Amino acid sequence: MTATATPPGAPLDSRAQAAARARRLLLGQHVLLLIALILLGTYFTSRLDFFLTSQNVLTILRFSAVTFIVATGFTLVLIGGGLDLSIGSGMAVVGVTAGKLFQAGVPLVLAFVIGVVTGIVIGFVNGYIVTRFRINPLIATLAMLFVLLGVAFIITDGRSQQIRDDGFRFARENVGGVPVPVFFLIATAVLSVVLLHTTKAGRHLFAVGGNPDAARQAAMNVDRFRLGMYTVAGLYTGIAGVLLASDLGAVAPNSGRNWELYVATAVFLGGASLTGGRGSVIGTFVGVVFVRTLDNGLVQLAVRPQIVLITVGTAMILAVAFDQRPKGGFR
Amino acid sequence: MTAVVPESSTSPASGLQQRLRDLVFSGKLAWVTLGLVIVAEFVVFSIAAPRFLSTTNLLNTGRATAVLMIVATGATFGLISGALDISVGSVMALSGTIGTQIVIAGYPASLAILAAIGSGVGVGLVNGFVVVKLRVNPLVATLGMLGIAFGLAFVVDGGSGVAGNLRQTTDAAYGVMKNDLVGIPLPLIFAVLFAAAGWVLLSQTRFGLYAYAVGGNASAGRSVALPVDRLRMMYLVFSGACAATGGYVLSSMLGGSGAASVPGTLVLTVVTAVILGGVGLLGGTGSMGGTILGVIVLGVLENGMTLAGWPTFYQYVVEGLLLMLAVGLDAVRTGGYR
Amino acid sequence: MNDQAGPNGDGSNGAPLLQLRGISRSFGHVRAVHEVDVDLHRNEILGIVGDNGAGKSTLMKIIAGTVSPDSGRIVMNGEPVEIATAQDSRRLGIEMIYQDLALFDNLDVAANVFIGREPTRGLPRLLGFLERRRMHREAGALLERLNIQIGSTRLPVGVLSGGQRQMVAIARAVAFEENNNVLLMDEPSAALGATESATVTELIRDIRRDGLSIMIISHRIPEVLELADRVMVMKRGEHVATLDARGTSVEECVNLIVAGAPAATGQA
Repeated sequence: MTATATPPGAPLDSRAQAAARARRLLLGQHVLLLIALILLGTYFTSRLDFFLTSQNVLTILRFSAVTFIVATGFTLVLIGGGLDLSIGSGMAVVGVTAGKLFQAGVPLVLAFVIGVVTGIVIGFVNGYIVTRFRINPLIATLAMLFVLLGVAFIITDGRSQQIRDDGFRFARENVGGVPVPVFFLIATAVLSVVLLHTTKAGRHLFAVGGNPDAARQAAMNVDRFRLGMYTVAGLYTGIAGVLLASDLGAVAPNSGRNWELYVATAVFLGGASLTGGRGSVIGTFVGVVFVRTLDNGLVQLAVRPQIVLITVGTAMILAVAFDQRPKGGFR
Repeated sequence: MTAVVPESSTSPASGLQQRLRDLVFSGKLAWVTLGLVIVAEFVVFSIAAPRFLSTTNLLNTGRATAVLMIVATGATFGLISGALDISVGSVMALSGTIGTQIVIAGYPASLAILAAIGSGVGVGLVNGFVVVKLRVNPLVATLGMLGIAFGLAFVVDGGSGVAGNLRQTTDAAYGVMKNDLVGIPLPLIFAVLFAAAGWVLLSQTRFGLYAYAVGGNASAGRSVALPVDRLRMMYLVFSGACAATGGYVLSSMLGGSGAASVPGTLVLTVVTAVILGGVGLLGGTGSMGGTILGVIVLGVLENGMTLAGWPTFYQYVVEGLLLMLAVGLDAVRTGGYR
Repeated sequence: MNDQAGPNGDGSNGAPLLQLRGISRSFGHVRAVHEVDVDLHRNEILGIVGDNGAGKSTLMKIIAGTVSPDSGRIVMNGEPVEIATAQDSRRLGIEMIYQDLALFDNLDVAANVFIGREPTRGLPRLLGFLERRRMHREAGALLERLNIQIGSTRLPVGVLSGGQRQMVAIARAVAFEENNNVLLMDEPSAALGATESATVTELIRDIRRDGLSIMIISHRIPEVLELADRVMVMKRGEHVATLDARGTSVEECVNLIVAGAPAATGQA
């Protein structure tokens, strides 16, 4: 395969490599997506007076926050060669756990902490099932989606309830004009970039997902990596679940519905791949903002939500189709 | 260059072990296991709920399971050919909604039914195009389609997006599935015939054989000049058509339906039934016999749990665990996810 | 079985069955095959040897129609032919056995032998009912004729040994013999143990006796010398030499493979 041994070609090669890198940078997915985002924003701005105000931008970011946090966990799992469809139900379980504990008189902070820990446990269980029982992650987490949905309903006896408490609803507050969830967004982004792109474990995760057999031959413990990555994703599910419950100000077992579709769309738009080994925090961020901007603009244009659903589904298919062109894709 | 494999590469012990495994998990023995599960369900539920064993209730169970059987038939072909089609629930919603709206608009029921099933063919064609031409993984393609078809159903419905938005019609021909034939619910009769036809199609025809071939080894299929892409497209179209047929039957039983008439958990039930029945996730294995048993296991379970007074959401948990168990067994057979 | 091949010789007499002239094919700037001429005589076994990347597989895929040449022409039975697709080559009676064998592990032996050409009745095309009993009967007879030992045609191919799989692939390639002329084999013994590889060699000899012309790619030079009538050596996409298998030695072949010309030092 790599048998091109043409000595005079060495400088040529590096020049070709530089050109390839430039091309990747120019045409790389999140750059293209960024251009698409700018075009989309321009269009909405031309149609809506209100669109490009700092308040609306902050609103978009605020709605992006929960999606981004859970999408980052999803991205980690994809990079490591896994998949997690249970995120929505997981968030619901986290939210109702925290809410029910708070209603039962558990101190607020403790309730939230237990909520986050619940998320971590869910992630660990996902990882354990996938690595220990060798169940395909698609099915394992699809099954978990329903198990957790059932659990959320069981905890709440199938009823939604408002929680009218300002402390519980901290995610609705602003600090210095900036919505609280945006701070969580920033913290998650920084943490994830550090985790994924600067630590050895993060870099190894790409190897584990890209070629698990090679990683095993290089004496990496693939299963332990995957267990870890699902657990970290569970942490993100926990944080997102608490934020979502706080933002809703309610115990709502149904609150996790359809998150898979939105999150998967954002993450695939951002350049992560279903076959593992690829993805980035920044790509996912742009993907999330793109989806939320689309959502925000369409709703303000009074487009019906079902059209938004159709648009999102189409966008995801096209994103993956575009992404897979150069590699040949599904065969 | 090539490592020379030592002679007599199968040590007797591992060969025996392998053979035992094959026996334990081979299709036929899995059928026996499923049969035993069904028997166990009957025993447990007839104790827990005295009404369970009555003829009326058993026929009701059949009526309630008919739609699942029809949709699972299509999913069996899809998954054997290597495509997990998770858009089936949305296709059902779309099909039922289109059919309902056409009757409400005053057109004959026959046209409504044709259009309803045609919508499934259309969705299948799009799924097939996306998978075969754009080379998108079928899971992602049908996940996108899940959103698209569901949204379209709401559009057709003219709906406010409110859950449970149900349009009724009194058209007798469209609502034919509400009736019984010689005391047996029509949907049950239809589903039995449908599954039987699916069985013959899968086990006796080229169409069925090639599903196994394409799902088992697509690149070998190309080497021996099978039209792999066209076949993949056909299985997705078939899956969509079956889902749409199921959607129509449901809609007919309800006397018309809206976008939100199909429970969101239906996809899970379909996938669970098919995988319980022995269809491997990676394609190439499985049978209609297994799928039928898987459907019965779940149909009886839902009915029995309801009769025994368990809330619906406990069923989510049990079904999710069953699915995991089914795939876990499959993983033991195939070595599983690595 | 069908003795249309005529003289059962070493291939030196009569016009060649298959002639390739000036065949070239590049992938990007890599010249996989460059200006190669090949003659395959009737009823001959032609071995092709060369290092990795010498162009052996590409050459075979060109004949099989799965790779199209950039330039050059192919003549069969004295007439120029066009081989653009795998179907074209099948129509000309050329069958290829790939290194991965292209078998369906989940299907039984009979289904593998007949795949794509199943006998059916009743409805047309895809909806035709498979005549399974006939498939098993005919597949069984074929295996018996070729002296292939496999317990039952109902076994899934996945449970067979490497040698048995290789033999099923060969049986499939020669099953529809009316029209068969050429069999191409890519590394038929690569993954086999010594005994199995001897059985496969025996089978290849048998089918040659039935009138086929065979081209074999192999890394195992002693095996090629034992089996083939002539040996063609390739290096970096070029045809270096063709040797009479009985008049050469393993050393000579290795030297040609390594150096591209006789008499040079080389390591395996």
